[in-house]
Amino acid sequence: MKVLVVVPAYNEEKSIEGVVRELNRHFPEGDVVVVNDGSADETEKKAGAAGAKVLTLPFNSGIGNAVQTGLRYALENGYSAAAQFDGDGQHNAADLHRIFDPVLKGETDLCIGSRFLEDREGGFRPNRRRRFGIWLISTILFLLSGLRILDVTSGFRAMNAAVIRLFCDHYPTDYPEPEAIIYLHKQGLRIQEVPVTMFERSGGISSINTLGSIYYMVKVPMSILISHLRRT
Amino acid sequence: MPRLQILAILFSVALLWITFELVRRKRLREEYSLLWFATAFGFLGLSLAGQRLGVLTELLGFRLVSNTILVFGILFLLGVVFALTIAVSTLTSKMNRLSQEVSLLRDKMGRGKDPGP
Repeated sequence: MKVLVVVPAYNEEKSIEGVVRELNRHFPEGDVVVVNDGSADETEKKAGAAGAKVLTLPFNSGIGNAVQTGLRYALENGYSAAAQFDGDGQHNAADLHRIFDPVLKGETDLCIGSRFLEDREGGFRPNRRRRFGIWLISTILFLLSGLRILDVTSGFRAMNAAVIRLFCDHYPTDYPEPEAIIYLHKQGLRIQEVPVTMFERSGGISSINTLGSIYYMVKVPMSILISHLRRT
Repeated sequence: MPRLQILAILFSVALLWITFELVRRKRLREEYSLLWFATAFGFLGLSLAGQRLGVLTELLGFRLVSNTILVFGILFLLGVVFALTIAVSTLTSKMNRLSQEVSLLRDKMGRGKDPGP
């Protein structure tokens, strides 16, 4: 079973080498592709030096497009499953088996690694404001779909070929993670959540600031609602 | 309720509905839809303002309430057009970049300069 780990990265020269090395160490059975989202720094070079396959986008177009690029690579190269793994060092390579196992066993179609399922020692949780935002989105999702997903914004997720194909056809832009859940649910696919640990961002800057937060809290609920109302 | 106000409300609701439908059918991207939602909501707010519109008209020095609605309508549209012009500029840059990549890729693949029909 060919399995791919998609690592979207934008200006992550400080963390990308460590990320790739950890992936090779903890998950040697999977292939790694780093999708360099038009980084201005040395991300591409460093990722290549650590031994990863790198796809470089000619300009920055956001996480949605970067992940979709990686998934198209997965589709075109016949991978049976893929996972998203952020290039900033927040995700834990040792937990990859936890999200891949239910998918590879056929128990679910999308498996999300959640920071909020267990009180795991040493795990990093986002600050209060972000936690509130995540709770709000999670509640909206629940009210619309009945799906009880706690970590709706977690990009740490594994998916099978059916999901890969769907995402290649349509993957939301901007803040894709919550909307993608509703999209898959509407297609009748199964979504599961498992507890994982995450780390604090090791380098670089987070893409969410105050103005961004307002845009986020308007745009994401709206997108979820519209996605819910789509027929296909 | 005066006829103008009813028309304005209907128009705002229609605009809201059209925008919503276009996004739902994936004909309009969410990022651009926000401008139109803001415009539609702004217009709806104005049409529901009623008496306050008269006060605003006096304040702004216009003779007719319809002038106030018109001017705000134009301002909103100006904002939308401006934002779209900026978006188009960005897209043009990206497209140029992509075309460069394509030509360099074609070169790498050993294909000719003529892309054919």
